[in-house]
Amino acid sequence: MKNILSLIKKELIINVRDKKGNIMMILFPLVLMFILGSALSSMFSKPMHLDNVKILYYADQNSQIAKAFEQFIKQSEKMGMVFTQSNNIEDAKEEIKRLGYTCLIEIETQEGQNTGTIKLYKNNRYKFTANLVQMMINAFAQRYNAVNTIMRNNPQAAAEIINPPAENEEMPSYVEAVTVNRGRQPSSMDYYAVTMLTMIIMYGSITGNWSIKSEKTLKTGNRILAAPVRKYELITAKAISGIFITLIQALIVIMASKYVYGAWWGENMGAVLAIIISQIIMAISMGTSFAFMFKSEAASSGIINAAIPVIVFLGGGYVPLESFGGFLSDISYISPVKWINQSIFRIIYSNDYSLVAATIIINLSVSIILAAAASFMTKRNHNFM
Amino acid sequence: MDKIVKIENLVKKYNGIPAVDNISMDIDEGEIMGLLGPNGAGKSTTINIITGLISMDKGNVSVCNLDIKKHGNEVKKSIGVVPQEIAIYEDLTALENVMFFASLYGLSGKPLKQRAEEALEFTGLKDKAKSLPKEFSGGMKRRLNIACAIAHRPRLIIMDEPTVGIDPQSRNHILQSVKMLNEMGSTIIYTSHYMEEVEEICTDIAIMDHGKIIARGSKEELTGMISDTDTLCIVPECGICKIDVDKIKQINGVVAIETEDNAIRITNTRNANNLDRIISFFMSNGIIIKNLEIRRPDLETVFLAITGRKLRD
Repeated sequence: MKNILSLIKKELIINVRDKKGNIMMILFPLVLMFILGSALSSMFSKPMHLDNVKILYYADQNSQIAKAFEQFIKQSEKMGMVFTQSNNIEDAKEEIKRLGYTCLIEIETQEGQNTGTIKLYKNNRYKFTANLVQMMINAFAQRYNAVNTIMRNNPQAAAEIINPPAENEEMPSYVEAVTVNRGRQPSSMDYYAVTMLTMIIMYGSITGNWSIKSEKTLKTGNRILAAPVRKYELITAKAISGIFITLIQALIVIMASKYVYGAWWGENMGAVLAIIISQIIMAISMGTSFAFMFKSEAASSGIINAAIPVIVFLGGGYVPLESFGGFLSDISYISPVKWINQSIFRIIYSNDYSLVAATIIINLSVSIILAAAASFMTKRNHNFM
Repeated sequence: MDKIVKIENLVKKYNGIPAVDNISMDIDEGEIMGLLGPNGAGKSTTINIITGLISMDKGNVSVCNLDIKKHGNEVKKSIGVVPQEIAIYEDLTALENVMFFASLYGLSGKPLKQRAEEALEFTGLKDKAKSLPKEFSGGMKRRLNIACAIAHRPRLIIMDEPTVGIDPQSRNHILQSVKMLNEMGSTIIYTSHYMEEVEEICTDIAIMDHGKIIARGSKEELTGMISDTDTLCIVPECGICKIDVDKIKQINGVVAIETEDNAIRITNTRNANNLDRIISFFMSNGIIIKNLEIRRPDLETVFLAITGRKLRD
């Protein structure tokens, strides 16, 4: 433990004194935020039009969930969306393509149960708005699950929630929760605050890579291993200090974007940070693993520098790929940054946490896989000399 | 005397080619052991095995009576390594460098800082404690390299070619430091391909070539292996024509005489102690000696005699 602490202390001192590295990791994303946020603001200034978004739905009208869905429809129609009910699910699946519906919503219920499954069939031609509808449906489902829980515990209270109000009565405020908060839409600065942060975190993998390679370049690696220090202590210290430094840099970028540029980070910074930390772990793992996998520093850093712009682009780091639709939008899902950005945006703009667990699991799984691969490929006598 | 290092039948191969080829060697505590040989002889491989950086293929190595295979970390606590290449952090001050490496050997708190300062003072870098190595000369960096290895006061110090590429003044400082460290109680393993350094400071010398120890002993023992004579080279002011060389041959201990250009080469039995009689001969015959040089076989000669190659080929 003492060795790990000594090694961490040394790493932190060196990293804090690394002016070039710190400028790159902090100023670079802030400058890019400003440039892209200003130059591409027109892409984000259009209001979200939901007029004439046509949705086909099929639901068993006798179920509780269908009744709750009726209220969801009423709220959504206020935003200009057009809902059409279908009486036959098979016909509906044909009509979605033929008649140009954005999506089909099928609500399946189990007999005698209040629970059900909501299936969403998206029309690829309207990917962007279909994704928006999906976000709304997710929020509805979360709300419905909460209501269902109340019903099991206090049916009387739940009955008030799911029974629609009379014509002349105001919609209860709880219904607002199922709709998209149209009061806040991401501006260009908001968008690039997130994507430039996740981009620069990926570049943190260079920190991880250099941390290992520098010990070979400076010839200090063998000096350390000639001392009573175990390899796992060295690698653990490198990983911990890399994660810590990158986290501090990320927090500075977040604070600067929030208080200098006024970027909006939502109301649940904790969830956002959980995703950010998992991404940092993945990035540092990638950098340190590549350092062990590839003998030369040029090879490992070359691969990282080549891969990151592609990963970030596919993640919508530079422009939102949903705007292009089609193949580009589809393949973007192979990029972990896509998942990270999407889950952060959902937290900030929809209070939708449905992707958080999956994103964190993906990030940590990638970290473990890379670390295992590096461990397998590393020869027994890893001589830094 | 206790053996601080014991090496038995050590073998290390790379792609089937032996880098260390079945060597056995014991080093007494308190010695300055010189490991001499050309590049690729196996010196660095041997010390890398002792320090646990690479594993051996066969054999046994123990340091301070501990088997390095079974007690690797314990063994490392007793060793200080001065690597051939300067291994310091340019972004840490001299004091921070020494304190960091010393902390890996278990030092902490006040003793850590105290020992680090002592190490810097020993290597003449006390006033540079708070400076960054990027401001240092090559010789100062070499000295810092040593300070990082000695702060924890190891019983065994391994120095791998510590004077490569530095100026003569720094080199002499380092050689004197090595002697002082030995006087303070450390055993030193000193590897080099500069035989002058090894001759100057080492009490015991092993010559390596192609992974084997080809000769072992003190300098006198090694040079005595190939010759028991010295050569006295005298340049008289008047030239050699007036000198009766036969009379010089009659002096006890003189084995042979050659003349070349204006010099007389007298091959003398070592330890004949006849230098005074030879000089006396010249003086009594009114011959002024312009230059006098005693040439003894050196380790280079020993290596050449054994291998047919020069140390620095």
